Amino acid sequence: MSVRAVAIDDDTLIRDGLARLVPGLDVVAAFAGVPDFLAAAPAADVVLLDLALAGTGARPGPRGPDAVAAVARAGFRVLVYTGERRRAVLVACLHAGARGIVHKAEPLDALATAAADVAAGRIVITPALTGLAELAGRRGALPSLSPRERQVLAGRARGESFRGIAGRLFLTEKTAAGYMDQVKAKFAAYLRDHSPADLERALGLEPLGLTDRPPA
Amino acid sequence: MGTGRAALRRWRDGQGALPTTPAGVEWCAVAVVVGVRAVNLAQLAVAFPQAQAHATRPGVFAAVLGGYLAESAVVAVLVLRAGSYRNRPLAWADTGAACLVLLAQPAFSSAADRTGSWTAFGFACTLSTAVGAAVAFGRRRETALVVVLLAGCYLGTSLDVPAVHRSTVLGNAVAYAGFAALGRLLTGYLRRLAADAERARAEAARAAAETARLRELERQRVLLHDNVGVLRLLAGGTVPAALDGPLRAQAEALANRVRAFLDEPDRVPDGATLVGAVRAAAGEYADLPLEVVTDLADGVVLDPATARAVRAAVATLLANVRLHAGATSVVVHADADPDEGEWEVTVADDGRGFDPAAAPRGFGLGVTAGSALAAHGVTVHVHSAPPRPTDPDRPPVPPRPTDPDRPPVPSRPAVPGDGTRVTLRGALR
Repeated sequence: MSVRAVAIDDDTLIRDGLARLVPGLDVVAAFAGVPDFLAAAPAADVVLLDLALAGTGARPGPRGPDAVAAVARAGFRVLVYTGERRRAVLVACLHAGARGIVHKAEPLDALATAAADVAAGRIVITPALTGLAELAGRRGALPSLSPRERQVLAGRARGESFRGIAGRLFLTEKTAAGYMDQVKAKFAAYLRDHSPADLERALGLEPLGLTDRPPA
Repeated sequence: MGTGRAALRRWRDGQGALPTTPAGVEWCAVAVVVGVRAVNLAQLAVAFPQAQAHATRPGVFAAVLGGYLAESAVVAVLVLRAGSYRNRPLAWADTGAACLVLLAQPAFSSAADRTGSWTAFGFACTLSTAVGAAVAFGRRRETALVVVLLAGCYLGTSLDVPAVHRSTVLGNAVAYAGFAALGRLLTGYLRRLAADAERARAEAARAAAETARLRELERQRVLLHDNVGVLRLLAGGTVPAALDGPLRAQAEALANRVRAFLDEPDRVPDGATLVGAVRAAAGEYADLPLEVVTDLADGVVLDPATARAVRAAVATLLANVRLHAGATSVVVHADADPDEGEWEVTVADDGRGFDPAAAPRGFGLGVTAGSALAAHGVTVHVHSAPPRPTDPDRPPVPPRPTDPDRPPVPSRPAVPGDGTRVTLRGALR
């Protein structure tokens, strides 16, 4: 069953290309900015949202984490689809209510999988944020992680496949992926409830390591 | 601390006479301790004629007061000269002097006058000793002992006051503890605040230096990028005669700049840290789908030779990934476990794996990432598996050579797989 998606991107090629190029993704509408999307508010399982929205000039809409917050507030599941790699910005997006992040450099099937995951209520994060989740777990910011969840998280943070983790921990791949889903949900919940500055303090990161957020 | 004149100028300009540094906090504490004592003694000087008239023994009163004045002057000179009051022997000496002054009160004041601030001046003046102890002593129990001594001496010589004044005496005794606690609270907080400010300044300076370095790196990248056109023209073979000379000159300049650019990464930044070595190596492979995660290894210091070996090994592993793996995701992860006394660097890709038992160990894993690291006590663990033989869609893959100098395996579409994970482990210093 394909996922009903809406794309918000100021790049015409992306808007038109997503509908044609991504198998399993049914792009029901595409918008150049958040205000147009909110005005139409089409039904969708997931909203693919670019962060660097240039706007039309006459009606500049929100961009970056502000755009995420606006779409999430309207009750949509947001999957950030971006070239942005700065951890501070990505953390701010999750804090603003994003359910997932996929880089535009990743293969299209990764986008399709991520969209299906977000539509199904799961959280999708990048390897850099997986590393941050491991740091948060190690520094005590995620006390609810179980020992198994920590083991799976450590493996994923080191780039290990679920197959490799499953073999090492005597689990099935599905069980290992389930543990990771739990970790991501807990991490996303932490980021929603705490400011990036809180996380920075909890993780003992350099000042402005996560809060220095230039405009997207 | 600058000169007094500079401090006055800052104060006049509304910037505050004292700097907001740890040294400034110590000066502030000195100013408070000496200032409180000076204010008490100045008030006493004004009240001196009347106080002496009420003294039972005016001569003893004057002698004790004079002695205390001299002792206070010595303490003030010593702490002002040091710029801080963290001299424990001096603080104990001041406590001893304060106890003697308190014990001497009955020698020149009547029991009825013992709660008068100026006739029995001991209590008012020795409050500053309690504050001084809070500043001078790092340990709580030493401050508490000073408070007990002062309150004990005061109570011991003042409980013979008329019953109506007894509650005043008890209240005064409690004031020693109150002043010491508040002095400790304020001084401790200011010291922590100043230390935090100092750290923030150091971080800001480091960040500014790093920003400057990155800006320079970016400038060089732009420079190289702009010269790609020259290389393309030369590679094309047919260069218009008019362009030949200028093009060669530009190519020569480019060669020099590239050489300078390549020289730069040989330095391991940040005083040979693990993170610096890993990031320096990864920085050369920006074309890979690379994710570098190093927060857990922050602060791990290596000796420079080990740092160079780690850097070379990570660079070799990434060169292998670039040439052979066809990966869609590469993770470089650094970690340190103080409990185990060990650091760890993992380079993992999701590309074509290989059979470590079957693959020949070339110069890459065999020398750079193996023997050279072993010389520095770093072990190498390789986890890799070729595609599953049961997968009919994947062609068999030949053993993966690990020598970047060998010709690469012909490129093919990326095949996500279990890939290769190489872990380097070494002991924390």
